[in-house]
Amino acid sequence: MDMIFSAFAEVLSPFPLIMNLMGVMVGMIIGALPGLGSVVAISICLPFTFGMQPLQAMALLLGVYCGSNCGGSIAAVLINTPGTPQAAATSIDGYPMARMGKGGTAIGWALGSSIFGGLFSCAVLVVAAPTVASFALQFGPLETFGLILMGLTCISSVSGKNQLKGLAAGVIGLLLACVGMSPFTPDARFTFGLYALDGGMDTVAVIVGVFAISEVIDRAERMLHEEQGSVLSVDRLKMPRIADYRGRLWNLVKSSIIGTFVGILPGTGATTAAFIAYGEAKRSSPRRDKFGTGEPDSIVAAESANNAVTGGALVPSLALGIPGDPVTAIMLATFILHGITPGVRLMADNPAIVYGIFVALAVANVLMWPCCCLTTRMFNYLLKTPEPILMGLITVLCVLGSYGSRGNINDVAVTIGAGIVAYLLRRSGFPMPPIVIGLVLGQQFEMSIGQMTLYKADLGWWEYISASPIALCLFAVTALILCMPLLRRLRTRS
Amino acid sequence: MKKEDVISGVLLMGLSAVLYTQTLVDPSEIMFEDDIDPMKYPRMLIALLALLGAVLAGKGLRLAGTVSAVPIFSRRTLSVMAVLFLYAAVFTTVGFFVSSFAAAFAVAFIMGWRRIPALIAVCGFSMVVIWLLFTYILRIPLPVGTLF
Amino acid sequence: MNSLFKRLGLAFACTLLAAGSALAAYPERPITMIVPFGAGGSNDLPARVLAGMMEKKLGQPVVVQNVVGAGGTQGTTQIAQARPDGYTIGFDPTGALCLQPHMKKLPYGVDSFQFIGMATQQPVVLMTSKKAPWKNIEEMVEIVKKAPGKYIVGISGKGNMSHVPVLALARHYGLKFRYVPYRSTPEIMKEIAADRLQFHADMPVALSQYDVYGLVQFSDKKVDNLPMPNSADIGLNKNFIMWQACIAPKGIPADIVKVLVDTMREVVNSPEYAEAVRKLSMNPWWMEPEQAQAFYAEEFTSYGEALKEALAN
Repeated sequence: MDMIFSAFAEVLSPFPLIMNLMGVMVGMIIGALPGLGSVVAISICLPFTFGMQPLQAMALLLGVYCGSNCGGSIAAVLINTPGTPQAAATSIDGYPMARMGKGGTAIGWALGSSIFGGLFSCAVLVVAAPTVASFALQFGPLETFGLILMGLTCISSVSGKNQLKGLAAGVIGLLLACVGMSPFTPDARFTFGLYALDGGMDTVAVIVGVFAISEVIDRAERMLHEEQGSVLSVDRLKMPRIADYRGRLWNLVKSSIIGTFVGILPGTGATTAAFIAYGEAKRSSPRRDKFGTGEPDSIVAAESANNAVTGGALVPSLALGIPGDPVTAIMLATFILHGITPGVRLMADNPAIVYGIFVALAVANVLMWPCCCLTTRMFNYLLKTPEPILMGLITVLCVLGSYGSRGNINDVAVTIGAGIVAYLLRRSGFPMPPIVIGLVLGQQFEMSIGQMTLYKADLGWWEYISASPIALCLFAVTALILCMPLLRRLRTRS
Repeated sequence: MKKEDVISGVLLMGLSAVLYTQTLVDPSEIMFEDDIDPMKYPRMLIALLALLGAVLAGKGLRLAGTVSAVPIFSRRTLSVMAVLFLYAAVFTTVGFFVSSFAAAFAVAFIMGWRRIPALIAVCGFSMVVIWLLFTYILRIPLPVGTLF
Repeated sequence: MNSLFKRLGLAFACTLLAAGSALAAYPERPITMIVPFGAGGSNDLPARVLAGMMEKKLGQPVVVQNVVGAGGTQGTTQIAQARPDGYTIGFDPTGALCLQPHMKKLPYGVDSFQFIGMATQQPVVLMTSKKAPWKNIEEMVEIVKKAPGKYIVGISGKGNMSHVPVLALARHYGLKFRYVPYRSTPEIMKEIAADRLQFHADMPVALSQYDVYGLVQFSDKKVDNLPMPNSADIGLNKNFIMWQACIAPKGIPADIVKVLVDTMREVVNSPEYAEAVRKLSMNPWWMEPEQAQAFYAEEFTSYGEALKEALAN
């Protein structure tokens, strides 16, 4: 307990606090730029950490981590461009709200849920890290496969009335993930002989194209058919009142739990967490019929889940020294640069730094509030630009963002191509989120199928699967999710 | 008949046919003994896509058509697509400055902005700001082409 | 207001133009250092250390750009195809330079680069779980021989530096492993911690980071901080040494190369650099460009042979 108090004192002393604040602000702005996400934000800040004390460095990086997670949703709500992939689920209801002139409220919901999700996962991290981390170890290829299968069922929940088209879009996403090097042989696939495609489709490049570029093309014509011009401008961020959360509290807690767990488990990440939570909210929310037309419930689910991943991903990183995602991998690398060995002994050997991280994470979540208000204000100025000019600038920023996300010049062509195709699909009634789900989960999905085949070797499939109770559970839940609509229909009929 | 469903269904089937031919490309000579066939999984996906396309087209034939007030292809959307296409094509060779300036200008122009001097000023100014932002603050080098 | 903007933009454009065309001494604008692997990895961190120290000496930012994709070949291609004006250089490890070109057709080959110099070197180490039933290489060979195909090696890609050395070792002893690909080292380490797989070959930095120990290092020289038999000790006369080099596209002007080489030599031989890379369990290693070029050509052929041998299994 003393440890926590002294950690509080240390983190709240001026310099680490300033680092934390700067991290959140920088992360928020970079996250809000289309295409540039957590990994880019953190690698930008990485060189600055070389000269800092370990705790200051961690405060900076944790701030960037949380900030970029939240910043992505600002762009998702206001310009229908998820700044980061994990904000894709937020735009489903956030953007319709912004179109109705309630952008500030939508961001308020997003921010409130993000803070709750972040603090929730932070609490789990503090209380139960070692216990829960050993649970993460039980997730091998088979269990990961089960988890991904569960994630893929979200394709159905985000597709609304167009189940068939949603499924087709999901398959297209999975196929996009196949482009490039096969994970099992040195062959490149679906490259049509172009070397440029060997690197595969970058998730970020495709998402920026699918959401933002297609929106630009769509607006070009649609703005002629609308009576008023841009209604996007928000006056300012409006936090929901506590009373507004009545009836949404369980959704908030449930989504935070989903986010934390997906964060702890390897191989999937924040985007999946957001979509699983969205799917769950859509199944259980009393306002599920309004999903997709600007219902705060869906923002609450997506945002609390994707920010809860931060604390979850730190669980295996701090307890076992095994990073849960690329961002925590960079954090652990920073440890090594400062001569601290991450791993099972970290908590025993360097309790001060570990408690410092707990506190810094919590503080970063709280600091998101003022930073988000400020960033929204800045975005607001940008949105006051007349729509044609705004669309021109968005086009340029999107292309640069997709280029900057992994520095690959070919990704520019991918973004534009994805945008044009997505526009055509969109106008033919295909939902866009399934493409993202397929693309994000595709690689790991194929990987886990191949790994399962290799691990299983001469065993029979049933023999192999039945050895894992976790996998059986996951399969059962997946089956249940898929059968639910049918059961519900049967019940209403009788 | 719901036209766009039929067309997209047929196109999906066409796409799966094209992708299927890509799975028949000769694998490289280098094969390790425990290699998994890299094309098995995508082939299953392709088959599923073709099936979905067929169902979509078939169902579309029986559904009543709807007409959207906003045309899919119009002069505006087609020109924006053309601009984007060109932008991607020349981005690296011409360099960030010229291509991005031209793209931002053209998109705004197509969308009906006619106050040219103001547009040039805004576009030019934003490009410089973006360049400074990327190069010095974000430290992401932008491609510098023959013209800049 | 508008005219103000215009004038401001014009002024900016003029300064930039002037900067671009003036014949000042190299370098006059930021230099990009392409790293073909992700940020925070064992190929990225030494590059950032090197870039940080070089930029202090050059007086211009040296910006690390991570160009990720296709086992490092996308980034390496971008280095090879960059304009040879000295403003794009790269930091590349053995795998992408020596192994990948033998695996598939690539837009670059052994003669696509101008070496600036070598930066680090460290042997590949075969690591194993502390829970495994063996304690050293002899016991391991004995146990694995009895159960062919039972023990599993995690690799981070087919035919890369985590795969080929193990294949060579397996061939040397007549062992049979199963190889399961993963996307990254942490994922493999997780499986080792969960006792689902037993082996992984990687750079020594993983030894201090994860709960594993080294069985053998693939080098015929002994390295101080790696207390384990080397490949000479076990009679495998093969070197699998991960080196990292600073390279530039072919055709870059000689005077610019000289500036870069001089700066890099100074940095790599400095004690601060040595200290920084030792923290990453790497060893500073300087080699003049001509020697490095010759050494690369040699390594290139020897890896080609190693791969061919591995495939003959």
